[in-house]
Amino acid sequence: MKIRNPIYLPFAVVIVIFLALANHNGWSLVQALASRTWQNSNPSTQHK
Amino acid sequence: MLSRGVLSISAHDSWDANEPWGNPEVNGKYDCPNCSGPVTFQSSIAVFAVCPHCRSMVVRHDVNVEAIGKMAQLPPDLSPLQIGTRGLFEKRDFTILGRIRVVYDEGSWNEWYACFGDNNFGWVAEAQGFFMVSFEYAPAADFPKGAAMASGASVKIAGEPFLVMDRRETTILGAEGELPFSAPAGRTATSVDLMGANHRFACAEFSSEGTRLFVGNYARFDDLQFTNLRKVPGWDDEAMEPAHHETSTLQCPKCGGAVALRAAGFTMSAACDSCGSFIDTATPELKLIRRAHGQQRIQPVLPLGRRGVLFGVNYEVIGFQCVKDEYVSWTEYLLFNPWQGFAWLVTYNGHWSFVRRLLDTPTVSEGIFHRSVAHAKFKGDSYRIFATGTVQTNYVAGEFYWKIGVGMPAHVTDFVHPPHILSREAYPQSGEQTWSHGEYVDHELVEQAFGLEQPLNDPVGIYLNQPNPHAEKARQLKWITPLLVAILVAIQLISVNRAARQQVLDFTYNYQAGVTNPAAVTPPFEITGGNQTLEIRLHAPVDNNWLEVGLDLVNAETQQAVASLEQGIEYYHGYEGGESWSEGRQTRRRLIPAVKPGKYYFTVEASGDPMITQMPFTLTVVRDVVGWSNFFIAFALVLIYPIYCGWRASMFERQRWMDSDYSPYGSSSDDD
Repeated sequence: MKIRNPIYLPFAVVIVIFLALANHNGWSLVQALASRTWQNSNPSTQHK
Repeated sequence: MLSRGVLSISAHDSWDANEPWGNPEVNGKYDCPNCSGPVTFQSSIAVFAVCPHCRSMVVRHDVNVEAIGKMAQLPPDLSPLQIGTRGLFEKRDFTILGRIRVVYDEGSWNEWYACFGDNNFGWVAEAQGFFMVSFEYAPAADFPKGAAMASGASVKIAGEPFLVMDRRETTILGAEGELPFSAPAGRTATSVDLMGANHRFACAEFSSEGTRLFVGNYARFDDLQFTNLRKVPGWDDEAMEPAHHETSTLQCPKCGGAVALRAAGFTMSAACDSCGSFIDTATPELKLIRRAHGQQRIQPVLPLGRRGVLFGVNYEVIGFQCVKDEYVSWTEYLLFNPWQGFAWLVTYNGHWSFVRRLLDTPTVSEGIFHRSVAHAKFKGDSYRIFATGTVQTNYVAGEFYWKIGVGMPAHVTDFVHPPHILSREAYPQSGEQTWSHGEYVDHELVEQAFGLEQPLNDPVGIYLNQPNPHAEKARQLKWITPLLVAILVAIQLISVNRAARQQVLDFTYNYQAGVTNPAAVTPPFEITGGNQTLEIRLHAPVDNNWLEVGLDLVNAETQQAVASLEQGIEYYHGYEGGESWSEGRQTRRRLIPAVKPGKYYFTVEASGDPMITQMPFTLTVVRDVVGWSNFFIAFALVLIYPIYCGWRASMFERQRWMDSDYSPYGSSSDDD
């Protein structure tokens, strides 16, 4: 079969792998972006 | 692209169609009564032969032969067949014994008389590079005649349906070899060609001697596996790109200029290069069909005489014509190969199509429902009607296999199934109807095939049978995308199903207004397993007021805050304008992703609506949950490209059908 979408297919495979790994490791793309914002403005603090 | 069919020959009085093919024992050699040279009758039923030495027409009687005059020399042609050529038809070997050349108003063709072994004889008609092999069949007593055999009429032969394709008055131009009847030049008849399904062919001939019917099949050159072929001048023993082209040269009867014939014997007319007059080349008299009108000369981009290999066949450009309909004009190049016959290259706005005449009649279904339109079915594919209209030629150069005439109208209907196109052409003046099949060809392929010095113009716009570059991608995505979506759904459902969803904390905090609420620390809780998502649920009985809670997730071992969040809880409701309304919720849910295993606690701070004096709220923590945001992002990412491709393909198709009256996308007139 001639592959007519040579970029899309690897991209889609990456997406599928991403979802599997994210679910397994509890990652969240949305929250990661949000926490980056939080980390930038609130550096980690020691709690006594 | 006129069809040129077969003439079935009237038999000599002694040739009884019901008496199969005579007695082989009377075959033999005779001396020519005129030159005494040997004249051989290989066929038992042959009664007529042309002496190969002096061209006397020799008629065989019971024991002797008689010369009845001389047969004129047949005009030279490029047919690869000759007397003695052998072939194979439906697993039956045949050998060619004789030939007659037949002319009619618009063209001519060869009828080859052949022995099919076992004392069976038939005819191999050769026209436009394809063949019709037929055998005589006794017509039924009620076989239609006259007007009932008009073009387009349906006729049944032994229960098999046939369609009348054309009807013409024919004359024998000359003959050679042996024949089953006397065939002097000038013999006339009316010939009707019929086409059936699956390459079936029939020909009815009406003459003063009665009705004769011949039934057989259409065939291409390659189907008949010819051997002992004649060497074709200018074509045989040459590489694909020959060193020289052999042409016959005629003299224009109007201006005396030289007219080169590149497919002598196959073509019927030519345009004089010098004065532009049209000359009838079917007979040696070279009659003038039409005088030149001083038209401005158009230089074809494919030079006449240029050869090029297209689809594995070496074609020579022999003719060029400009055709127009009500709205646009386009150009058509006639290509010739002595073995494969004629083909066309049709070009419009830089788009090219390679077109050949069909031996089959596609099935046309007319649209019977509202908004349904006609479709043609061919080789399992459905072609949608695109356009219908009257076209006519307004400029010609080179030579053609019919008698060209500028302004000769034809009614054309195009059906498309990109990159293929089917065209039905009907000629009102001749009652003829033909079908041809075309395929879109990349202009660079044409450029390379014919070795053009100047590059061809790039295509402009979208042509009716231009392949949709996005459709192929979209077609592949049609099954890949659902598969990917199914995989994503499966991954998500498995993940959700496998998640522990274990509650590890249930903590209640009492908020009090007017005092400084100290940060509360929850009891520690354990996160086991690998990295995981925590679900935080906050519930407060807010009622037309709000509470703001700040949470820090702290690792109890490192005292490091690993996550921090602010979450408001508000719930308002009321009754206004006769309707109740509500806004907000008393329970809020947040996720903290990628929390490493270990012991944690939360620090909790709260502030609230000034109306609140005190309010307890609960904090519940569930470990190892699976969120849906990743799934929806992945879903969107996987779908974006297929949706884009589908949109592009749809836009391409909409643009293609913009010029059609049969657009599946409707038209402005539909809105009226």
